[in-house]
Amino acid sequence: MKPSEMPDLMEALRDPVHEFIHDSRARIVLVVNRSGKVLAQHGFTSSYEVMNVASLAAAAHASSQALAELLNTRRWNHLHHAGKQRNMFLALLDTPLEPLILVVIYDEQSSLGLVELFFDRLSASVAALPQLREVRRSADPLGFERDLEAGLDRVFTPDAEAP
Amino acid sequence: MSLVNYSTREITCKIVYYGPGRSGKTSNLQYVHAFVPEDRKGPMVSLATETDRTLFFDFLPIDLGTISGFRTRIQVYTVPGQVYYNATRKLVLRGSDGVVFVADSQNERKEDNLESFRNLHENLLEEGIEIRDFPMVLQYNKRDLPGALPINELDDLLNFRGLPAFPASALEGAGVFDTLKSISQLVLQSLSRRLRHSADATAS
Amino acid sequence: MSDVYVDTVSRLSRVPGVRGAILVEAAGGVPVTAEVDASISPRAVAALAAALFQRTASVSTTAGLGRLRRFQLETAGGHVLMAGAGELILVVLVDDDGQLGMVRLETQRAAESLI
Repeated sequence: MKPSEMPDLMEALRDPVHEFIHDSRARIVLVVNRSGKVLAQHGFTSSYEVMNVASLAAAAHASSQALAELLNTRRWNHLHHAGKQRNMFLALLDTPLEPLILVVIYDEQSSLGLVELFFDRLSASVAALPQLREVRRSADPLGFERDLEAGLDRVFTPDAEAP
Repeated sequence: MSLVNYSTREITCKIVYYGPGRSGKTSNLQYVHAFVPEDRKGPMVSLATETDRTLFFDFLPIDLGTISGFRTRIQVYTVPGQVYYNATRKLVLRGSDGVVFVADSQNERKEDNLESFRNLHENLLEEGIEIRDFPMVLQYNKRDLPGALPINELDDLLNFRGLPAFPASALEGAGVFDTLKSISQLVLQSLSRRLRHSADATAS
Repeated sequence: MSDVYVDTVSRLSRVPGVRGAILVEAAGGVPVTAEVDASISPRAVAALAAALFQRTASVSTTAGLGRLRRFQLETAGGHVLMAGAGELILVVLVDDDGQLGMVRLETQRAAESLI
């Protein structure tokens, strides 16, 4: 997928994902692509937490998918981890552009059955999304370079480096 | 491939540290994690074996702040270096926007460096990545060790493309930030070029 | 699959007026075994019924009236009965013209036999 195709996919996912969150009563929902980048999130308190969960979820999906292939199963319907208070549900969401990973954290306000049920409905509405058109945006090259230098300096300054 | 989220105004890029086992990939990340300002980094994730060797990957999220109106984050990963972890390396490499190849400068690691570099190119090819345009930098680590080969020999061995190359001693931090700064620049400039290219294509 | 569960659901679904019966694992809201019309999704009914039963159960305990035993929905097409059986819930779908009293009795007996 080209970078410019992403905005329409994320906008198109917004309503179905909100509906899913509302119906399933999930606490935390994350939509990531298979390389671990976040497309949508709900319920997290910190952006770093989001990124860490995203990378681990993508890894969990990747390794379980590799296992599925080894076991001659095309793919798993979903992964489920049951905890004492919280549980995790992870499944692949087929979109018109690329498959995405849905991660759901839920507690006793919901159940595996509910999450599965509304995930099926989410899958169906995402599969029915029309062909998404590409959107192209402009960028200001000089401003970009300037900001990039400033950003990199802020993070990687010599002062910060000296032990 | 970099993710640009126009609705939330965020850019995320993925950078992978690659190289033979024990070349210092994880040390790079640990140093970065220790010295990047508090508000610019997240907790580091390390999936390691009991002997502290990378099993799956290490992961560190870094916030570069706002660039051209976009909140820009880089996700830095390392891969396990041992030969038999190739399947894992492929999974981690997926969707990456740039690679730092961390070579071990010691003479006895020459073959391992070459093998790992070859392996990187094979995996990139399999991922369908056009290597000529792909942001990459080299780090010649462990410069402080007595058996370290001269830089020009390492260049002859690995740097046939004239990539940016940085001498380093990751445990002490020498060269670590220079390396990451360089790859971040290359990745974001590459993204900027691609976005500008799409914008021009629309305009015409 | 435990024969007891299958037999219980089977027996219930044969009571006159019963359109279908599902035995549900309460915590997960997933069906253990079901006998329903092909047009009905046991997974969907199980998930929604279990969620409703659990929510309603807390009304009963919060009101100081103890454990929820049975829950009944009156609908345009008939009734939905739900009876708690330990970690399980029996869900019974009853036609409009079914003998509700008899079905309630059988459902109660079935639930007690499962505990």
